[in-house]
Amino acid sequence: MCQQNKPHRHSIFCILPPYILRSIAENGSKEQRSMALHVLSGDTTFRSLRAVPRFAAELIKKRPLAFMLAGDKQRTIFSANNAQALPGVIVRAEGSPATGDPAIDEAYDGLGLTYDFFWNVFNRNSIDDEGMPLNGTVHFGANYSNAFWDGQRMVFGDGDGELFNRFTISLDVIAHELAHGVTEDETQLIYSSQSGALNESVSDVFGSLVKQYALNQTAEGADWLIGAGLFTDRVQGVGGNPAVLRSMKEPGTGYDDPVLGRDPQPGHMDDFVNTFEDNGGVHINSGIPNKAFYLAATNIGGYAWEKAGRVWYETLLDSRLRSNDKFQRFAQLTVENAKRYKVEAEVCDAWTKVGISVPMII
Amino acid sequence: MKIYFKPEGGFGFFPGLNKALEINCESLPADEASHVENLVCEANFFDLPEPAPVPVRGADMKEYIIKVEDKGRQHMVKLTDLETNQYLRDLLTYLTNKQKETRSGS
Ligand SMILES: [Zn+2]
Ligand SMILES: [Zn+2]
Repeated sequence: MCQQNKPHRHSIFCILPPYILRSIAENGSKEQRSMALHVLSGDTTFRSLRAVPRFAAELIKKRPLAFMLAGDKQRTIFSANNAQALPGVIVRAEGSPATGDPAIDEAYDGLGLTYDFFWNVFNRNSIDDEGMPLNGTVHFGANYSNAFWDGQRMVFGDGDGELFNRFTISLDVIAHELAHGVTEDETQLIYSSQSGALNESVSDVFGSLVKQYALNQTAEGADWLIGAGLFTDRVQGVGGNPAVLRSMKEPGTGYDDPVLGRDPQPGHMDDFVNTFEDNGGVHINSGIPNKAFYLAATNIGGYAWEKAGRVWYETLLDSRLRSNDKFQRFAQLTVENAKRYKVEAEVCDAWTKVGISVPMII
Repeated sequence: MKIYFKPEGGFGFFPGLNKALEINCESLPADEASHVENLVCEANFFDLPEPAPVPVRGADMKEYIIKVEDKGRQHMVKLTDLETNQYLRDLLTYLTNKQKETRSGS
């Protein structure tokens, strides 16, 4: 659409950097202002986008300074008001006070904590590392039991109340969705089979790390659970524990319930699931790289984001990682990236324990 | 008319929630059968485009496979939760509720 004159290295959707839009919103004509506000609020229809660049170019010449500093986040929460249409109506914008609606406020806070994590830990400025606005839609659908990333925004249902609570209830679920945006921006790991399971695992890794960072937990002190609190207490857990979506520490022990069935995640290549369902098991076999990350982080010790998280993040950014790569190659690249932090033995051991042997020299 | 329905995807894979459903309209009550047949007809089901390959963008989105067999014709589509065709949405709602009834334990 606007690929010919793209001002950025890679974009998830065609939008100007928020600081430019902000300055248009503050300094443009009335018409320009409303257009910029429209785009800032996430309306990315072709019509509104096409109109912006013309005056934006003038503005860049006139005002070379960014109005928005890197590290500033730009959150907008929308409500779909229980319809299944996006984006919905704006219910909370950056800097506005809490609404008292838990879904809205959890989405706002969760996206903020996730932004802060990526900025403080990896110096990454939002999903695209260019300050992309964070748009979340809550109250999507009626009794809708899912959360997803649609390529532009993070969308959360209220849950059916029977099996699922609202999907904003777990910080790691919010961070998981935002991390899909980061992966899509960096490597586009194809959402199918092993590359898809890696895509899923990367989202669980950062989802869990955001939670650990917010709670100031070390690898030893963290629960390594994804989606704690997401299930209602009607869903049966394993071994007397409350049901959770997934466990990175013990894949396959999230739930065992008459309605949901049993958590199908393997934690070792011996139990790899070959299936056509779930895009070739992307949410199933992600248990294997999840467990590898958990083992690497606990092998290293301390805060998981400091070394293991950084190694995984740098692997995601590694130009040698291809969109159709499988576990083996991803593992090799993590070991390679671990060398900078002198933790290659710990990372190598972690992959060996899930059945993936990586030569230390590649 | 026979309908095959399979929900897929979403934030996690739950074996019990992703079971396939098969409906034979001949074994449904007459008014229910005509409701379903009407939705399929109004949606121009047999003229809908074939499912696209794996999308480049997005993750954790649910997908719904619907296959209809009728009078020697057969066609399959994949829907998402962002479907805008109201007849298809009604058909999806109907099938989702029907599938929910088949869940064990509920
Ligand atoms: Zn662009
Ligand atoms: Zn996901």
